Amino acid sequence: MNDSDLELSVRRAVAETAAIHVSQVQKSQVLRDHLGLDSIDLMELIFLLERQFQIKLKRSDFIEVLGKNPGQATVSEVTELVRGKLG
Amino acid sequence: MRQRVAITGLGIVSAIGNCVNEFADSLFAPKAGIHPITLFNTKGFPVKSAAEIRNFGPFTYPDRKVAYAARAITEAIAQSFGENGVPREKVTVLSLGLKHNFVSFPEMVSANFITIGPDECAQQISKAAGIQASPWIYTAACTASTVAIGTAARAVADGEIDVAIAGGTSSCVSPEWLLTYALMGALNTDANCAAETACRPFDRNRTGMILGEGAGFLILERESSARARNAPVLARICGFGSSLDAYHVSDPCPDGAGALSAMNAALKDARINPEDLSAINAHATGTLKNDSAEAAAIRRLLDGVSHETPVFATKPFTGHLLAASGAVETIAVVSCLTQQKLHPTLNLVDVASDCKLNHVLKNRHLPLRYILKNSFGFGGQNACMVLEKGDSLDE
Repeated sequence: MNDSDLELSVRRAVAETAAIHVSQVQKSQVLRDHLGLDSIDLMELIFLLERQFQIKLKRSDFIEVLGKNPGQATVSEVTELVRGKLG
Repeated sequence: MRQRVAITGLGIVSAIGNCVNEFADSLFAPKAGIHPITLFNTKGFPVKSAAEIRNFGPFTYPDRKVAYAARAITEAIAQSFGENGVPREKVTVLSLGLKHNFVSFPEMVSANFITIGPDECAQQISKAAGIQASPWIYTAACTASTVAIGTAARAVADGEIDVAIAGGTSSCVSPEWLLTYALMGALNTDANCAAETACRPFDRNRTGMILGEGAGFLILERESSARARNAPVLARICGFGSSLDAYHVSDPCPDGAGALSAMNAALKDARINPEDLSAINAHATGTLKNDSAEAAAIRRLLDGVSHETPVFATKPFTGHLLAASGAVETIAVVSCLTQQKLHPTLNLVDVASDCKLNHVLKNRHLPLRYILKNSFGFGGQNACMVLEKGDSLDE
């Protein structure tokens, strides 16, 4: 999967969780503050990403890799996190 | 519980579907089954809405709950055992959650709304469903069918019985029953409220419950037996607990102490901790006192553990089926586990200040392993179960 495909897939997962169109999801947006994802949204997003990319993703990964809680991460940072898991 | 208890069959008759597939489709559509009452003329009557059964066909029994139960039991047995039914050599129990009659004088009952008592009901249901199983009858108010399922699961786990046909049935959408509950102040009697949004658990503007009718039954057996005959393991029952508030004839203890005790007992029986729960299916009637007490109990359960455990409620879809509510909602929980998806609590728009929880407001795809099912009833009767996803979904 190339970089643009990966980025689009993550944006689609975020859009599905937030119940908005993918065109409304930008790389720089913060999941909680800009896209309004609440705690169940974040659980759902992690589950969707795990299923879509066949990876294991935990809340603690956000803290260990990004130094922040999932809600504080940007779309771009989530993409980087997934990229790291894909190796 | 000692041996693992598998759910190998489900059957349902409800306002949102007269079979399990239709029921699950409605949960995730999502599509509510509460509409203006059609079973009798409500002109001048204080209650206008209910969750009635539609498209059921002709009734061959005067009490509708007998027909509902027979249909649901037949569906559950067919899914689990096929057309030959439960083998005769299996020690089988019909574990029934039923309601005692408030109205005990036949001359007070409308001709179209005959309600028979629990003893006669068990006989008629067995005859209608073509089964010969020992009847275990529970009349524990709105926890009745949860108690019927939970105690049957324990008997299966202990090896006391081989198969349980466990659940409940209810047909209380009648002038007598509705008036009884309306006079107690438990029903939504707001004439200006649209039927579809009349049941609003945990909402600031909730005004009472909406009655529903129908039946739900599960087939329970030891998982080892189910595997030996290649039966589907749809989910497992791995914990059951009950308690009594001993507080008031109808109201729950406001701090939720009794409810908390039952939830803790179910978790202990399942040998899991609150943080292991993927979600909680609330009793959530939509009354001021129940929802407030239940929210308090859930907050105490999760205090210091997790404030993110999702909570969802099924009654805005089905109405309150009283004695049968636990069984019907347990089938909703099994549907969520098999689809790895939670249905929303419909009509929850403005969460009440005393009901703050992590509410599910839309369909949620989540990894679901354990779900706690709550049932609470008049008199402070509490019964809770822990259900676990089936093996086919194991990682």
